[in-house]
Amino acid sequence: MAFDQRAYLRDVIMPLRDQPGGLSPTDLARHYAVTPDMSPAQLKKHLTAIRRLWNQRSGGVDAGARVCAQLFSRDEQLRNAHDEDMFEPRWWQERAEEHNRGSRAESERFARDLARAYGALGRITRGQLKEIAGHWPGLDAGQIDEAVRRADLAVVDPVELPTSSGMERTAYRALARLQDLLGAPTVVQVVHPDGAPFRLLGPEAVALDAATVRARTQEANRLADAAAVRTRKEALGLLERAVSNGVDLRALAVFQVVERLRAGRARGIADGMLVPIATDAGLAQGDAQSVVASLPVDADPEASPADRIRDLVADGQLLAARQALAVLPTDDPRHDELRSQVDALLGEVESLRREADEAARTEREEEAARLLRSALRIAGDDDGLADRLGALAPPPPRDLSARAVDIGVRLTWTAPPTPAAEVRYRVVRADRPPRSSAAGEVVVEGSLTEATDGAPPPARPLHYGVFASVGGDWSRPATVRILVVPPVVAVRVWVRPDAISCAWRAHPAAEGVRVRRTLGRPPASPQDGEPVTASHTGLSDDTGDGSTDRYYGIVTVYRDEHGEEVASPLVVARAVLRDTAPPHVERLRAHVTAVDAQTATAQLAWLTPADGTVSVRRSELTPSWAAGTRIRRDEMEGYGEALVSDRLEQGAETLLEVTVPSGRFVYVPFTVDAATGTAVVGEPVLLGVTEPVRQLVVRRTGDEITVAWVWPPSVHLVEVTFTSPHGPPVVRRLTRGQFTESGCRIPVSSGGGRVSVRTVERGAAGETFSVPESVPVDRVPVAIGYHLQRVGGPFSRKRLLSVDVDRPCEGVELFLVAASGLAMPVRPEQGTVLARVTGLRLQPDAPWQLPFTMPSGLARPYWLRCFVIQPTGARVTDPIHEMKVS
Amino acid sequence: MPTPSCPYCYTKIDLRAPWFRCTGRRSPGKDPCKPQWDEAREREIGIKEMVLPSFAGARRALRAVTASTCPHCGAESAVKVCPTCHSRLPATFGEGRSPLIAMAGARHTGKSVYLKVLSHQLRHGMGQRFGADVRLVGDSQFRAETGGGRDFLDPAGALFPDGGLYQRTSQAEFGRREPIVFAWRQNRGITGYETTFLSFFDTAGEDLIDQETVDNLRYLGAADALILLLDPFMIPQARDRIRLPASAVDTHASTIDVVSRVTENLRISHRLGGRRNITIPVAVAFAKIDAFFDVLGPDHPLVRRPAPGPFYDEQAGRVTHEHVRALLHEWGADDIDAHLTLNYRHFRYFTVSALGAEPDYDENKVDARGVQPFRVDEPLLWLLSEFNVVPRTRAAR
Repeated sequence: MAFDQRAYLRDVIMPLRDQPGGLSPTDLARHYAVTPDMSPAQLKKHLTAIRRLWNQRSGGVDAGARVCAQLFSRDEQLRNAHDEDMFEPRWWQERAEEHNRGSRAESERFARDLARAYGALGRITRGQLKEIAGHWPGLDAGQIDEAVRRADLAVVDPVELPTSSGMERTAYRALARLQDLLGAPTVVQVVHPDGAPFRLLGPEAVALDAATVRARTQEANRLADAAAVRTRKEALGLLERAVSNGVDLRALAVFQVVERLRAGRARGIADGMLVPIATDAGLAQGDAQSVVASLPVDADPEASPADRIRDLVADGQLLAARQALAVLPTDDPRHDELRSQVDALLGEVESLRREADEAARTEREEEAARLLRSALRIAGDDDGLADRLGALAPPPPRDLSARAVDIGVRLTWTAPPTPAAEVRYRVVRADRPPRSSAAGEVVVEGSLTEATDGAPPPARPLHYGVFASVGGDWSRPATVRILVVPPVVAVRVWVRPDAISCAWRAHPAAEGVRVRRTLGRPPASPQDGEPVTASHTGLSDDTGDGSTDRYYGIVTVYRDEHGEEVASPLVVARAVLRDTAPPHVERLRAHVTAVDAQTATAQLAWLTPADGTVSVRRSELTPSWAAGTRIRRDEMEGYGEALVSDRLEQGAETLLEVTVPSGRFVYVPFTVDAATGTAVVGEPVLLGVTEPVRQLVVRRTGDEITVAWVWPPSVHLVEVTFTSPHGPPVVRRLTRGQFTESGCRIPVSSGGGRVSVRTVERGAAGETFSVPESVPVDRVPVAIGYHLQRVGGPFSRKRLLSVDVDRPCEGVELFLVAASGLAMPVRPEQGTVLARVTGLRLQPDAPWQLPFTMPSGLARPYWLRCFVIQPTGARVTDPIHEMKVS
Repeated sequence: MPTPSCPYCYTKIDLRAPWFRCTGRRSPGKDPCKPQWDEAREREIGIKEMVLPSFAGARRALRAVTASTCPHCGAESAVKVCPTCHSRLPATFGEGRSPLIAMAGARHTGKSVYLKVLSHQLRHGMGQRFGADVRLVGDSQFRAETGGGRDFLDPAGALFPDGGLYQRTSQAEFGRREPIVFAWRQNRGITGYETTFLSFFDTAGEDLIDQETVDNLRYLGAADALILLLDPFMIPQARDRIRLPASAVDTHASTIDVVSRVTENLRISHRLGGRRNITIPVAVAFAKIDAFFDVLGPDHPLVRRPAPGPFYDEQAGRVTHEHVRALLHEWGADDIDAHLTLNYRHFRYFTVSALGAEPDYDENKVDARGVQPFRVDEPLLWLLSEFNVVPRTRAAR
């Protein structure tokens, strides 16, 4: 049988050519193409021919030449060792038996290795098997198949894995962000949020076609609004657009799984452990094994360096992008473009930094902070910018006011406009407006927006400065000037038959107290009346004709820092002469105000009688005596219990404030004559705490609030108080009938506040109040209005957008949208975005304007609408008449 | 002046041939008339009661006939009645416009509650706001003014005094139920005092369930204007946005079907072919809007109240109209908008809430805090401004 060179080259040399494991040392029969039926003569002839072939071929340059050279080289060794034996059939038989024994053992070892390497996957691709089998040159195809079966592996065709998402990069990044928010590892969970394992390979792959996505979008549109629903709708919108652009969502989902697997492999996770990563992403077990098995080894087709630079720029990591750009080869086709982009942004950051410095220098801290924040959005990895922003002092506090109160000076202010959560304040007092936080005496330091200076020096101008800090420097101060001239306090008057005594408390720094007396009328001015000698603590006077009331105009006198005299406001004390006083207490004036559910405060007042002492007693029962009856003292003491508390004489009246239990009680004044052991009964007063309102709610609609509550059955009057941070409280009384007719609506200011409602019950002796119920009122957000004016002639497509606000507002983001249709768009994505503006800083009375041109081709009727994205919740007033073009 | 319609039976009244009702006073030598069953009243408006007899007066020649002599007892009477239903007409009837305003809507929409609250607002505050004297008129209203207040639907009664809501308005029998009639009298300046009569007819939602009962509602055809009250809870995508108890939703009614039936009835009664749209103004009011306050947010234009004043705020009305239309499209209910646009020449959307807070649907009780009506007057004010009864602010241009 003649030696067929072509067949030999095809069947033996060519397969050996790609075998990385080299030649099997024992498979000689195959390498020499020797068959068992060859005679010695035939063997000799065959070996001669094959050696010639090897010799001829080994001089070449192809891979076959290398194999031939290897075979020829080994043949030399065999010839040296066995020489003529190689022409004997027996020798070849022995070699074949030796090869069979070795290959069986090798096959078992191969099976064990396969099971160890791929057992966890349970799958091996044909390519992988071929590659591995190449390292086992002693095994033939049958033995390899047997080893695969023994290793319990399935040989599969490799899955073609996508190397990109197919979407535009920015859209894909936005989709990934939304998936993060939804907790959806792949787009499959966005479309099918049921969380069931899904297949992506084969005919049973989960439905991700355009119709499915559209149906899911419509379903999502019908769901109740919620943050998660909005996010999902946005993600579905991106997928709908992607599908319309020809993106295969199934491939996109596979890509997302592969991304996870690659990341796992990059972290050194074994392939067997990658399968759970894929199944955790929702992929069915079989598909997960197939995808992992098909995962190329190469394998990190990460973004190219140029793409990574783009991502860094998009992520606001400009300095990192600059560094990455430095190592990007200059011959990269995108090098120049990226270089110019990074340089431009570096320039913009530098410009913002310079503008921020200038703003800080010119005391526009708010603007400086805004500029630095803008710069940080571009270069968030620039620590210098962050440090600069952190050290920036906030704007000074606003609306600082000071007023003198009994115990000093009370200061209130509003927090500066800063996004910082906690602001600390330092209040400094000085003789001149303090320029720094150390230029004066520190009154208080804390986080409240109010403070009281308990010991202000009187009769000299005081300058208070309030500084704010958010952790860095102190801000510029808000300053206020006040002159404190305290009058006398705690004025008390005693009238005896022949003398009047008046006592008070004057400020220790007072130089003196001047008193002038008028008869029968209060003084018209501090100079009115006749001077009376007085000390720092009081005066004594006679009673004159004994029947005309005497008024004392009391002025405290101080010296200012120049030695000039400064007089306090006038305080008038009245001495009511004794024969105007009643012989006994006839009736009480009373208010009862609930403190809590169990206790109340009763404020009682009566005309101080001429003689005797007064005992007010409280009982649940009405006394059996008529008013004016004189009873024995022991009878009086048997009625109820006495109210004991400090009493305050104020002019002709005596005041008593006492804590009483809740509930309705009868209060009776008794005028006790100790000499006779009797008491005169006064008129009883029935008073009690009224029941409070229930279920108080406040709903704000626009710039008014509607207050509603449940009325207690017996109550027909309430007092509603709206307290805002600025301005005095608004108090309004409302009857049940008024409430039923028109409800309770109160206009609110921008600062919000608190509404409290307490019930009022009127009686003969006064009013009783319930415990107030109160609820907070949210701040009213900034109002943003806009106008869309046509510029040019009636056929001009030029327009002018003017935006105005009711108070300063920064960081405003607007979308100007055009949409065809009868109904106006309610979301920006329902139309074409004509303009998007961010970072606007708007001031009242200074409309911001943007000229724009209407795109051609919009079908009428169409709408122009401005959507305010930031600040969220702004009150936007749409100019309906300017928005619709029909 | 167009021939006015009776505000009770909605038939045209020839003012030249007035009818009167005997006063029952004795005239010399004759026995006075006594109250008797009036078959016309029972036949036309379904009221079965004993009233003094009605009779035709002399036909008007040059001067208006203001009184006539009873042919039975010879007493003179100036009490005018409708020649058809014998309902007592106000003394000033026929001097000014008397638009008949019908109200339609599906079952469970809250028409009766809305009409009750609207009536209350008409009687309390509306007159002061517009410098008008607004009073209930008519036989049953006179009774109600003096001793009314027992029935939920009694327009003269207190506003849900015990917090209870009415179960369901009974169906009209052959299209008959007594309307609520208001007289709106005000000084019109150069033309002097003028009285306008507003007649509201409350339908039972069941009347609009199928076309057959709709056809019976004669009043729809005679109406000069229509308040079409729609329930946003019937719009699936709107309902999905809020949390509602099951008892608040009546899924048997379809909003677009009700609107279509009303349209069909109007087309037939106004003898309109398919080429022309319905000309009467229609206020399309979406009720129970308070349920959407949280969804819309406190600064949505539909949640803000227009500035009150002696006028209809046209600008706020347009804003509301466009925002409601946008919401309908957003909620997948654009078929309603398309139907109205293609069948009505003049309509406007409104959002109202008669109660202002969610009632207890299971217990049929209003919110414990009481009734807080929200923009309920706007549909009526718009219609009145259409009839030049109240002025309107000019829309911005």
